[in-house]
Amino acid sequence: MKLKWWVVPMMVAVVLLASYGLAKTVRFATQTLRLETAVVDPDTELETVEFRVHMLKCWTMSNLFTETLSQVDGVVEIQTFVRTNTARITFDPAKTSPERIADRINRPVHNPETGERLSVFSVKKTEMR
Amino acid sequence: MRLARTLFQAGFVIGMIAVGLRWTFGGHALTCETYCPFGGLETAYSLLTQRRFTCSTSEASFIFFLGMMGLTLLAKKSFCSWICPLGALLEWIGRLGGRVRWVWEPPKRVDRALRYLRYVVLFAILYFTYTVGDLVFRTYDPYYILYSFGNEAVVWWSWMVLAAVLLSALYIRMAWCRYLCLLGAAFDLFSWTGLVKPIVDSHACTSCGLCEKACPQAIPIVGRTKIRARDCTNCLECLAVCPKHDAISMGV
Repeated sequence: MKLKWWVVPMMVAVVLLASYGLAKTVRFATQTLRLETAVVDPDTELETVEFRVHMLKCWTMSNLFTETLSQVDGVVEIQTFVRTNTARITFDPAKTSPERIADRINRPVHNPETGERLSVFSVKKTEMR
Repeated sequence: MRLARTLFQAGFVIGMIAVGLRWTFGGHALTCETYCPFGGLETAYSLLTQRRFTCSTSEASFIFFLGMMGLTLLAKKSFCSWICPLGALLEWIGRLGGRVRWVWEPPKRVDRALRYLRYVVLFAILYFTYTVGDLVFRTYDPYYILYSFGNEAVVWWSWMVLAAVLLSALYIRMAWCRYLCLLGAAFDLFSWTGLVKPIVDSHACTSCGLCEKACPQAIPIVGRTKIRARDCTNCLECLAVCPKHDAISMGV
């Protein structure tokens, strides 16, 4: 069966737009870490903040990030999304604040082998959810 | 049809330059890697077995890979001639080579043998990516070197690789795509069964051979009724140069 030549660019455009739309909407959490012990009172009203973090771009960085933030008192849940370089943090506002969390993210990491202090992550954008 | 394709290609080249600039100077999260379907193939193994992405890949690259596989099933390797921003550059350089008469076509036997080289490279790169867990090919990947504007994985000899790939297009049309492109090799599996392809009306065809000369992939066309070749990218060049109206058309 013969077809018009423009069937090809049309198929290209349709598949591409569909893939682009799907890629924009679908967002898998690379890491989800829930610190159950962080919530003592079940009636506590938790808040969520989303940070865009420079260098949060892969699984390894995601691990380092969640490990670093799990040490912050008041942080209840950490979710990382590498495609958008973002992290969603749920926290107890009575114990910590977005500023304190951002401070911890920006703080250089100590390398025990070399004794160096390395700046790994830095917050680019903060958004309350 | 040539204008339509050039517009598509130019759009993707400009778009990818914009993505690279935005990432390099504006610190934007999206990079040229976000849109690379090959990253999707590289991360497929770790995603399916460990539910995690290989470094620098994300759900976006995996979705683009699946989408482009679907496109290949529908319209052969149209991705290569309509979307790929590296293929577009190589094609334009090849045209320049043709104008100054530098283009040389390897003997058919050598050409056929060299086309298998990309499968060897594909399996080697996938094996190392899966075992190391990082995108080991980045340093040599001309697409990444070019559109990341010299990111951290790019070293001095990466630029030599890029120069060699670009220069090769001046002498052998689409040399990179024909002999070494890993994504093209991955698409080959599905390209055989591509639904929409060029079809030749043997009664109208005069066997002038203009279509074969114009084909950027140097695919034999004369004497065939359906172009099933895995390398066909549905670029429509054969349709554009055919002097007999309707001797070549698209079909299923």
